[in-house]
Amino acid sequence: MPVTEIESEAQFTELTKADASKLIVLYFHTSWAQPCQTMNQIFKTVADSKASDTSISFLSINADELSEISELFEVSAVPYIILIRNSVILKELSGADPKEFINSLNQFSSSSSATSTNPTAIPPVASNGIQKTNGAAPVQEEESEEALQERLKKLTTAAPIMLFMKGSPSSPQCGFSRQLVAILREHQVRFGFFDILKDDSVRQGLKKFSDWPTFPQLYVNGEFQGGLDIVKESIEEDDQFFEKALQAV
Amino acid sequence: MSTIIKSSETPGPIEETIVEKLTTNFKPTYLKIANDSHKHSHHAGMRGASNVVESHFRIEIVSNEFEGKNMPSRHRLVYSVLDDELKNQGVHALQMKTKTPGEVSK
Repeated sequence: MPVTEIESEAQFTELTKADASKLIVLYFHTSWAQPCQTMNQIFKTVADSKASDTSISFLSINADELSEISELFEVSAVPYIILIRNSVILKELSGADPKEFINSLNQFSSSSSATSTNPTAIPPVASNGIQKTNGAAPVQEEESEEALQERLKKLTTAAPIMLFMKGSPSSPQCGFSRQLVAILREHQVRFGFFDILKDDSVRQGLKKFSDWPTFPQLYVNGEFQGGLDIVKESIEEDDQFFEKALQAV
Repeated sequence: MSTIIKSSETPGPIEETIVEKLTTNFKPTYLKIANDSHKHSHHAGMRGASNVVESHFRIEIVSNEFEGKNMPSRHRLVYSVLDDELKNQGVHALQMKTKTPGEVSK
């Protein structure tokens, strides 16, 4: 089956419960993350190539719009792929590595590929970008200072409002991060986030980049705003703080 | 004359250094410091940390040094004065309220 773009939580529940013995591939993406553009294509190509295999379901989920689903799976960065069967998570892939995706797919799909899905059609993905690095996605081991700076620049501008926090909004690992998430939600502000506990080079690099020793850190339009204290005070002084900060370019 | 309020009758060595550095650098009219480390010592982020008793502080400081500076700049000033504590002594977090005497009397 080719890719099904999920439109609602109800549809998601229906499709995942319908045939639990199927291998379900969940692909989380957003419109603002650069690597997603490339991965969107890859996901579609791979799904199309497996179209004849009815034991596999390819579901595409916009992580921003269907935030409940992304929170359910604790998706902390995009693109993110989760393979599930019988309500058990078989594998999680963070980042945009087509080879890994295909390998995992072949590993878990019941129809072991006698016919190889031809991967040569897939364009190579640059591994610098917005994805986090965790054990799953191979990233060049030694990241040069320059490359890190580039990555930080991209990360801080990944969304109009970017929160660098400990943990994820659904599962914060620090009281201050939790409070800042609460403030953003209270003011119904859309924001992107990055879990610095999962990437030590960003954790240390961002401290220098922002000239700020602690987390959480809030960026608006690529400009550092401050941590919890400052955001709290700013909001106290001006209820429209976020709106104004977004407009000031 | 300046008012200095410490966290308890027996503040730890790191707190004493913090008070000393802040007093010297900011000549505050008011300085209050509270130690919140116990609230965080069991959190995931503190696992494996060697300093869990003087890791989180709450500071209120009123000083003329903050005149004409925006909040990020004021906080950065305090961070730079306490750089050693943050980098080497295991101080993890500083909650700060930074005001000028003029702002307080409003």
